[in-house]
Amino acid sequence: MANSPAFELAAAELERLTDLDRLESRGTLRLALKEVLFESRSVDVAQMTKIVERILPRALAARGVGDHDSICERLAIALKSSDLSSSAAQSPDAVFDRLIRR
Amino acid sequence: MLALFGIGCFFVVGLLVGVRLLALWCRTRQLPELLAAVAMLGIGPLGTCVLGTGYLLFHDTSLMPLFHAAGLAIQGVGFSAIACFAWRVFRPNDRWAVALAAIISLVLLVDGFGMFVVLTPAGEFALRNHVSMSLKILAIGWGAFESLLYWRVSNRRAAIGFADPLVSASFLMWGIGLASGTLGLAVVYATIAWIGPGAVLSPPSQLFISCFGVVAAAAFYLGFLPPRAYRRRFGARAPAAGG
Repeated sequence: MANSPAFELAAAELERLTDLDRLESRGTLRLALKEVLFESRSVDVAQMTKIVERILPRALAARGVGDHDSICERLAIALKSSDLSSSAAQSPDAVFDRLIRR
Repeated sequence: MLALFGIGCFFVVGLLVGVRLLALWCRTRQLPELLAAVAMLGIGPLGTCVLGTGYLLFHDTSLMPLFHAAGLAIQGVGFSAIACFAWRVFRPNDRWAVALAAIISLVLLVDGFGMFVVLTPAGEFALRNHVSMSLKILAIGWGAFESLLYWRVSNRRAAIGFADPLVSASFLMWGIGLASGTLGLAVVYATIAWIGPGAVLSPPSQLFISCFGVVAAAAFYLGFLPPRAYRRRFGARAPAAGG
């Protein structure tokens, strides 16, 4: 099953910014997603950003990655500045958020 | 008369919510808004208006089957929209969901517009009516199931600060509204299949339909037109986190 663009971006950035290899960076992100009941195939950019800011620092620290706060900050910036808004706008949460907004 | 109360509640809320969603679609031009608006207006006010006009003004005339067919066709479009909404919002990447939504929509649209070609007398309940009713129940039941399933996860995310509680509650309300509609439609179907179309529904059936109509109307109202006091129950909205 294909991963969401937000997950792919975060995984690629995490691999680039740390010594973690492809499998490790994706596995770390998947565990962080699982902790807050998200899936790599459906997580959107806003959800991914929040997970990077709130869950990932702890996960990276547990894996002995140094300077994890700074890495997560840069990851969050990369996600926020990405052009993934169209996929984010179609997640169930984003759709219902629009539907109930006055 | 008893059943009319529930249908009336659903009619009013369907009109309010449907028009609001249609106005929202005019601004966003997003498919989910359009599908939800078509579903609310088609099954509720538009379909009911056309069916009601036929029964009230053209009963026992040659125009009656035409109004009957038009009302059911409009409602069929509404049920198709619910199936497409379930696919587009909850299962956008699943092929089986695309196939299911396509089959439901295609059969209901062919059946709905086919009724103009071969007009079925209002008092007749043919095989195609069974197929059509079953697919309508499947469409609305599927929509309810997907929304309630998503609400279970969303509610747990909201508890740990990873989803907006109000948005999470709207999944529950959409699910309850559709589940109530499913049960109401199932009662109508079972009653029509049992006593035949055109016959007067028994008071218990009318009471059931009325209750389901009221519950659906209340759920859609809270879900899509949440009053200020209801919003306050969920506290301040979570910062942008995709919900």
